Amino acid sequence: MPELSPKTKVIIAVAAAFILMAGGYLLLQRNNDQAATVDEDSIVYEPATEVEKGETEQHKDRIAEEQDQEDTDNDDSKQEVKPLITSWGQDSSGSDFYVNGYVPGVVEQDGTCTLEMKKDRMTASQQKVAFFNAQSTSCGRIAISFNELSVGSWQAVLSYSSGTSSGASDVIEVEVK
Amino acid sequence: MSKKLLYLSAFSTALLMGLTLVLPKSTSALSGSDFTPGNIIDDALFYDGDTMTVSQIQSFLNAKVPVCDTNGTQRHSSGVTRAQRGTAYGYPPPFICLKDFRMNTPFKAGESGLCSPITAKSNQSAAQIIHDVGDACNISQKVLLVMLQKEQGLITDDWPWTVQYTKAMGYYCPDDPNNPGWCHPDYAGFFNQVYNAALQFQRYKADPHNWNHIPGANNNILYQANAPHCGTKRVYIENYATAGLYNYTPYTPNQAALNNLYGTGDACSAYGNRNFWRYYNDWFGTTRGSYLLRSVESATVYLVSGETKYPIPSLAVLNALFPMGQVKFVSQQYLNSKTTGLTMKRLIKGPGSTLYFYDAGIKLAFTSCTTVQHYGMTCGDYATLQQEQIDKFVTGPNISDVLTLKSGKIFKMENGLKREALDQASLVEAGINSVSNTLSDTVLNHLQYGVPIIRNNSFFTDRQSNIKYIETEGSVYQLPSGINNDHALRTLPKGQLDSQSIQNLSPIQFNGYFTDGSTYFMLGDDGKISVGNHDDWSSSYQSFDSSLVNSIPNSALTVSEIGFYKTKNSSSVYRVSDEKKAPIASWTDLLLLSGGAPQVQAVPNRYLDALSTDNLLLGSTRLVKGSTGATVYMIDGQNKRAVSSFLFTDALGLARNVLTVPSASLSSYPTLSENVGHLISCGSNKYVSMNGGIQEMSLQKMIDYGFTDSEFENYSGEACENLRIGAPYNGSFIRPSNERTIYKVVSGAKRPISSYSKYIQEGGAESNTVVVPSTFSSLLETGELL
Repeated sequence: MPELSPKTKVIIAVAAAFILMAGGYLLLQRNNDQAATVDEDSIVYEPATEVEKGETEQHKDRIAEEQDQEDTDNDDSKQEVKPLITSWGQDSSGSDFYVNGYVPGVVEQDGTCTLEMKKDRMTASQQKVAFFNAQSTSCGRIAISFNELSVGSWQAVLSYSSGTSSGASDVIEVEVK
Repeated sequence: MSKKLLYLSAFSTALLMGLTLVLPKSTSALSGSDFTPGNIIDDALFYDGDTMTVSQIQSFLNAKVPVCDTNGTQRHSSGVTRAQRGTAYGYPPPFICLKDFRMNTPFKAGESGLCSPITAKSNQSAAQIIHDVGDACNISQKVLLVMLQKEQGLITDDWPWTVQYTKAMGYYCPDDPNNPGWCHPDYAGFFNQVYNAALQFQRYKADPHNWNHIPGANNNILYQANAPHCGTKRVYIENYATAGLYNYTPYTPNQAALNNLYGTGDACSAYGNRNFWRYYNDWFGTTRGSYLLRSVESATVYLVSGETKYPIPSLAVLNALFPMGQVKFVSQQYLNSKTTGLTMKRLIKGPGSTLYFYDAGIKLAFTSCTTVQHYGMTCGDYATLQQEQIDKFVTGPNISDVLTLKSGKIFKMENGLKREALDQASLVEAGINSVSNTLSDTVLNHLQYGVPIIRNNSFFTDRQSNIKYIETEGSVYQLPSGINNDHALRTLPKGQLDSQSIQNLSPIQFNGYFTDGSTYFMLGDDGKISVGNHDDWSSSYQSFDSSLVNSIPNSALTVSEIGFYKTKNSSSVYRVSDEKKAPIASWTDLLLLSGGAPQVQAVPNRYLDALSTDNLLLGSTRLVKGSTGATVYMIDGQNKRAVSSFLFTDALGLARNVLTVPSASLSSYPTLSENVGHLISCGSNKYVSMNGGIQEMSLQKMIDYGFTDSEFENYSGEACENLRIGAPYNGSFIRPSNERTIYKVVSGAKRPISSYSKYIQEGGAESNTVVVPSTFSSLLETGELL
């Protein structure tokens, strides 16, 4: 067999490399096509990512932990809760001052929410039956007529009481105009 | 380079190129800084129950978990198998992945305005349940999938526990030490959870002010459930969907959670709404939609605000609403769920009471309903936008009833009409001193044009047709074509108006002739041309106020009574009289008509063009013949005389240069009964034609020759003027040019002279002897020989 010239060897080597490269590309391309597609509705059809799998495992571990914790938690005393005032202001009718709030951490029906507003020696309050929400207990909107209020800065607090839970929100300063 | 190195280099190059080809395309990673707590997802994406088919949902679930570890054979991180781990907590295998999950579903009556009824079905797949609930409650199937993942990780779990189905959406599942994994039985289970969660989102939306968080208002939102010390974040919630998510899961991610978007933050981090946003983006694209929506079924684009959809009537309005986003497609079902409001006009209102005009991303407040009416609307024609929508428009100045468009056009709005102003000075002259706003040209497309506002003595052009006009003393005149009006009226204030504006005027056709009452003009290319013989040109001169006439510059041309006229571009010369133009046959004729010194004045084409054409003008004494005849004539004023012999015209000194003219033109000259002869009367003077001209014949000579007055033909003044007058005729002796005989003229006869001595004897001399044409001598009878 005759000896190939160096130049011929280089050409053969480059050609072989390109053939390998092209074959590899086509193979990977086919795998990619099988792995993931994005349809015209922007739906990404891809397997769960490692992050997503990890979060799923962590969630399941939390379920286990909660069960472990619940097995040892036999405290029958009332749970202390801290309602939250989320928003306040003058309602659209212009006759009431309103506060919206809820009770995080509990999901139950028929507790009582109480809005109390104080200014100097004046106090106005309004109660409302709480109702369950998806993952909290809602006080909804509690309104106090402007007839019971005067213009100025008032202190508002939202408290909650039920058979199993009780507590009060932080006091917030609200401006009645 | 060595061979080894050469091979290595070649392979390295190939490998590098290969890697370049197979590396996946880089994708733009989601960043926590993109999270907007006040708008986690747009309403249009959230409240749309037609976003995925059952097949798409099933394919999606299959893709997420290609292989389900049903028997729990894989090892858990604690070291035991998953089967052992699940069993230890009360959830033994088989583990049913969501893609394989099936159950019988109960009948749901639905709630009016929230969810439509769902019939009881058996052996329903999770994909079918997700689809049907989304459809019945008009909640996006994509949202439901993300909620299932966010709450229980069910989408990506390859060995889910039954408890995860029990509280699949985390809906109404209070902690109960006595019932681990307990959910209220009315709501527990996969179907119940999905259905009630979807229903709950519609409840939030239907009664937005009576839940934990309010859309369109600032809300305090907790960072963490069980850590009050972590505090709250003040968030303006922009829409129902975001308020719904916070009502459902009342926590917002803190900065630590956002900084590590795909991991954990700190003790004050909550992840529910962060993960909702992240999963949605990763799986279904952006959560930011648009307020401009349409469906595949209908081309109508709506601006959706809250529960109302406002049809957009035109591309101009759509463009003006660009801060509302790009037009996106949603299901017709979603659009049908919205109440149809008024067709969009250029009037919007936010939660406040201010009404705004809008254009090009700017909102301009109206200060009164009167101004609104000027814009062709009423104060009730507004579309109500939510605060976050109205905030997307930049606040401009208050809108006035005067607008300057970007093209430079100025409009004054008046009772629903747009009155175009020629310029600011026109507004000032009309007593309108409003400050104008500058907006895009399409902003007033919906308004009809009114009567334009034009200042006195101004010159303007129709933008579309380029027709020119002047305005003076409340009247508008359409300027004549064929005149360089721009130059002629260069000293007048000028501008442009739209055709539609001019259609509201009643322009008077202006023929170019005008007068200030004392002087008459025609409008020339460089100004006003004074017309001396104004009646010759026109009987219709427009009376203009002297203020306008004086404003028009004088032309370099004048038109006087004695002139002949031509246009700049033609050599044809005319004589004008009685509003007619008579073409001059030739330069020779012009010389004959003008007495040899023609004054030709140039006038704009249009004025000569407008005149009717009179008969061809021929100069007196001109020899002519008709194109269809052989007779030669001599023009004599307004008539012609036949020429029987060139000897007669030779005697008059007329060259035998005969002009041929159309017979019709020649026929306009009546033929006189007498041909051209030798005896000519010019006024009271009598002449004989002789020696290339005419020579006056004295009364004595007339007696000698026996000529009477009646034998002399009266020639027109023009003809007489064109004939050369020689010395008085003194021929006592004549010699016909065709004879050698000399005659003595005595008592009306010519008597031949027998000899030269007799000629001398009779008083003959060179000074009184004339060589005459034979035609002249034949006028005399021949007497006896002398």
